[in-house]
Amino acid sequence: MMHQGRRNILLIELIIVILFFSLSAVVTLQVFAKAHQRTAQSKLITQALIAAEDWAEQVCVSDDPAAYLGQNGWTSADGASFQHKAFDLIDLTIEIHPEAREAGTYYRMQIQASDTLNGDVLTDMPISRYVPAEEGV
Amino acid sequence: MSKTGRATGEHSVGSIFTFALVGLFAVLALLLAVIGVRAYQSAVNTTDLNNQVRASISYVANKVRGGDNSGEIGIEQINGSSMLVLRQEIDGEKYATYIFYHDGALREAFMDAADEFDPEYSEKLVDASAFYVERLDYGLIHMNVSTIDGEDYWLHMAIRNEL
Repeated sequence: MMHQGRRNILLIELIIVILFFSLSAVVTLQVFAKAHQRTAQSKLITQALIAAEDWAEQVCVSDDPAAYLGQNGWTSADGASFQHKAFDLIDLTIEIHPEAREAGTYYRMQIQASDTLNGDVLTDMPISRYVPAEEGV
Repeated sequence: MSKTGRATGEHSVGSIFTFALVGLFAVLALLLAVIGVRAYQSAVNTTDLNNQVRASISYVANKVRGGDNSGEIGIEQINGSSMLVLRQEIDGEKYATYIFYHDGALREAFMDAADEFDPEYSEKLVDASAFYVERLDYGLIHMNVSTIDGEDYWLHMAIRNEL
């Protein structure tokens, strides 16, 4: 009888320990998942920044940014907003606003990189390019 | 079955159940530790790769931008591989900074421009598996860095002096 009682106490003790352990495991796994998510996000931001910088540099030396983007695989429905994919998981968008000036054209542009999966903006930067009339198209 | 026999049977079932619970606890603890180690390893690897990319691309980009103001930026082929060469004049003396791939790493050498280039007199910037740089039209420089994991990262840079 005394034996039975001690065994029951041991069993209850074990069940409590396992329950506590399970709770800790759930919390710990959530922390691991969050850490993994954060590092993936950090990698994505690095890639987005590199991709945006890469295209910003190319566009800012082009005399006709819209034509340059069209020749390099970017797609556009209206000729002002261009879309492209980088590193499989990043959507790049460049908005081009040409402004006619007395001696040429001033291109005011905005490049934005966003996460393909959820649409979150990862980086957003302005680009500008002034093309004197004799060089412009 | 006698009373003693039934009691012994119940006792052994109870013991087996208790041991099974202890075993389950041990297995779950081990599993959690393994998952933890893997998650930590993955986080460290990704962070490391991120740092490699940032260090290599950003460092070279900043060097080019610095050289764009003060000196001459060139690309030379030495021992079959392309190398970024930034020349500058300090107190009347000409110096060159070479950025190149050698022996599993992206390296940098700063030396007198008149001295013969020797990769042994260089400092390691970051581990990499390849580095390639070329000059394009419109004053653009295109560089490509492959990380040790085999991922390729590239960046175009506009040389403002040539615009």
